[in-house]
Amino acid sequence: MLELRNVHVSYGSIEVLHGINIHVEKNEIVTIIGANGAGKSTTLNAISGLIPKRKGSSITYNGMDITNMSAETIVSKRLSLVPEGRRIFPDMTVTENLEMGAYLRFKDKSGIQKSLEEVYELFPRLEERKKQVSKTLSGGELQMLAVARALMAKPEMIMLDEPSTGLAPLVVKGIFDIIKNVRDSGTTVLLVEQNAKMALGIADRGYVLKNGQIVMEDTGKNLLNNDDVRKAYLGEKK
Amino acid sequence: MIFFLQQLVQGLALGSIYGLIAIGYVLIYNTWGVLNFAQGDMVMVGAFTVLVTYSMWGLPMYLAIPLAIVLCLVIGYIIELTAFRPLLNAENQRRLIATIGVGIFLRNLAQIIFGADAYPFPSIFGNKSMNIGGLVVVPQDIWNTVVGILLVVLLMIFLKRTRMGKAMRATAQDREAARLMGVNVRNCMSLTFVLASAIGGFAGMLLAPKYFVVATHGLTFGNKGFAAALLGGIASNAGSMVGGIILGILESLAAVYGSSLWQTAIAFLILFLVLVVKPSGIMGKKDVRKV
Amino acid sequence: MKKFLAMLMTVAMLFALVACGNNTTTNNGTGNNGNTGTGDDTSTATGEPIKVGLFGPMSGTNAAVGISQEEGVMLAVKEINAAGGINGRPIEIISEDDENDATTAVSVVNKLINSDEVVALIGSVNSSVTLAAMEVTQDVGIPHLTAISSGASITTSGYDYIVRGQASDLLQAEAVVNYAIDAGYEKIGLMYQNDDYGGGARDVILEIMADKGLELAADEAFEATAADVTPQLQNVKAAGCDCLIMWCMYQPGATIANQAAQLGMGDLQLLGGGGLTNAQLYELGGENVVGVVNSQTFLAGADAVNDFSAAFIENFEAEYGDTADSNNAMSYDTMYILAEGLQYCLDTYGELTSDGIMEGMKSIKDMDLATGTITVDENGDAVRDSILMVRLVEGGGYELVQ
Repeated sequence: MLELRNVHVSYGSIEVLHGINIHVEKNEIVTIIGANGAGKSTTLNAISGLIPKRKGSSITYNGMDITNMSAETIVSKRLSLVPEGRRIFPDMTVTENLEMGAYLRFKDKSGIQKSLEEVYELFPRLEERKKQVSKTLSGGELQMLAVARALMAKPEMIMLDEPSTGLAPLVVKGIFDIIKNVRDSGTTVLLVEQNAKMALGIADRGYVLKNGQIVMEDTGKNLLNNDDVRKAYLGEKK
Repeated sequence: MIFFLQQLVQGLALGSIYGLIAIGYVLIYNTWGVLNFAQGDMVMVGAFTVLVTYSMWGLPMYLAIPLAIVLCLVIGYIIELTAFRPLLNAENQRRLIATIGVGIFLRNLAQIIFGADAYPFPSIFGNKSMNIGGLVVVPQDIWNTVVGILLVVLLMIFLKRTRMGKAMRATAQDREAARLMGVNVRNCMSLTFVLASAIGGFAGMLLAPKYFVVATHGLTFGNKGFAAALLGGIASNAGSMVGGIILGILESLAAVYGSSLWQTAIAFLILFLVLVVKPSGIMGKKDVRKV
Repeated sequence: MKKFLAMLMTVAMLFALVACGNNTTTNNGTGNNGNTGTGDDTSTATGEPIKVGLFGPMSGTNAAVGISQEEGVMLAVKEINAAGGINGRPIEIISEDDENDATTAVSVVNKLINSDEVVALIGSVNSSVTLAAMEVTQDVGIPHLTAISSGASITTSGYDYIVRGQASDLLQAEAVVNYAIDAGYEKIGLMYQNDDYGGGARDVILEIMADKGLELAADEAFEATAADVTPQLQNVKAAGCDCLIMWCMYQPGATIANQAAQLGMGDLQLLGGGGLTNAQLYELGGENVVGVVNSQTFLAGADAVNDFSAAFIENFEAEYGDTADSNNAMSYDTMYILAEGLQYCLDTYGELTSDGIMEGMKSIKDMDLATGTITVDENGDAVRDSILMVRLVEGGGYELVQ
């Protein structure tokens, strides 16, 4: 469904991604783990069209070449990103944020209404706060809102950038349950995470990104049990 | 008592126009993150475009004004294209200087084309004063107040309720996130700028009958509009009208009850006080970053 | 594409800045065919040109008066040069725009003195601007004439190198106040523009009224550039004034008249000084300024005061196709006053010196000029027999009141 081939990304003159290759199949949960600064967010931003890729890079989605597509257009192809730091619209209410998620679906009023109901079912807390201005929400609620907003676009594939950041463990578990739900209802998931344990726990497959290069690729389970992975990313001593 | 009310009436009329000018600053500041120091000159441009369409081309008023507004939209677009868009990602100081440059350019261009003297402009709604319960009121002033407030209200409804308006708000709050929603941010920002220019231009058209059409008016009224925007809260749309009316009334009261010399000073005094005491203005939120 | 547009923008801005920088040529489109220069291509004066600097507002609020000044001066220069100049030497005018701004005037005057090496200067219109320029001309010691500024302090502050062709505000304000009192107005109000012109007149008015045991019913200041003067007018209305002296230029004058009418004060009699004189007053004020009475040194419609004046009116009409106003007349006279000074200096001393020129001008006695029979007093003021009071009538013309 999504394929990255030989993707190079530079910030100015410094190359940050050195030709990575990743693929995600339909209905999978794929995760990319790695240390801070490894290039995980960069990868997602590159896929979303927010940053340019160097010549020779190739990103295909459902057979379409999206390497040089603008972010707005990529969203219209039903590929959504839940960005790092949530990035909800602070002065808009919860409902307004969700409506922005469905921005491109404006013709389908009843469909949007249905999606709103579905999303409120998934996130009852958001429904309670639906008229609240979103900058007054707590961290966990913001994360929920960010995910819900991305779902409002009815994407075929959703990418999440470090959804666990700054959240209490219980809240994190809730989020990850929802991510599983999302996959189960037919949406493909690409997940970038600091919290390797939780991510690998739900992922079908995973990649390990180190210094801008893919150094390992395997099933989620295998990576969880891999000694090097455990040492480096799961905080376990030998 | 009547005397005091009369001051309020005068202040209200002038203040509503300050509010209209102020909202131009607010719109652009929130979307572009820069204070458009040429906003006052857009007001002047508006006055001149209607002078051209009505007094020089001889079109009837109901054609002259819409055509003049279209001209303002076009001029606004040209300014956005040449001076703002190229500097989208430049540092704030550079962009500020660019806006100052645009203002100087517009002012001088107007002087080259039209000379430096004032041009009279007829009042559409009449300049004959009427006596309403002891208060002397001029129809043009009533019109200015009503239209000024109405426009701001319409703008706020547009921003709150329409899809385009929501896209503009989203763009103003988080440009990148807006892109991720599928919003064409570049178009949004253009639209915001062009809209602000047209509103400013329209304010100029409302000013023309009472205050003549003069190339240097942009400075006078631009500063007032800016003070009003700051007073009401640079981040608040409603604030601009509130700030404008307060400024208009304060000017009137200060000149009448204090000394007439306070009239011009008041705007600058307010600017100073706001920046020192509460930079976010009357209706602003607490955090005021950017420039 | 972006680069091209940025370049286009830069070029356009540069063009605007250059084109509106200090104008060294007079491109005012009022039919003036002699730009910088001698006013005529066929002058019979062929000696070394005598350079005279001319500065005034060619842009900004008083631009119409700046243009009037130039027209008057250039016509005089043309006539003088056609008659052989000063001992065969043509007068050459170098003209600059001071933008009605004191700071610009100072820099412009410095340029004329140091760069162009003029022997004398004529300018400006606004009294504050003229006073600022006088700091320089006094310091350098170069003859400085003003045709239009009427601020009293110009000739009463002890400056040695100033000559004024205009009637001082001392005379004008006196004429206006006396007119008001004689006409029977009991509650006289004053609105003045907040600078040396307005403020200076105010001082004179207060003094004159105090002498007669009278007081102003209203005393309001306003910025000359203010667009809205309704607060001040409210005070005037509340004081119950039956007449209002507005000591300001024509644009604020029209503003006051218009806004007074809007406040229902259309019956208020408006009076003012020479600053109101300009066709723009009627253009901007229309009906609301009909009936305004102001002091003046010249009125083309009245019986010409002398043959020189009659000739001036004719020649001005022939040259510019328009009736001369008092600003044209005074500028014209001022140039003749300077020419007289230059002539005297060359005849008496054989060379042009500042003190010689000043001596020549101050020795002018009972000289027939367009605005009357002029004597220049020891302060440099051009004293003339009387000040006219004129009223603006329907259609924009003026009629003599007294």
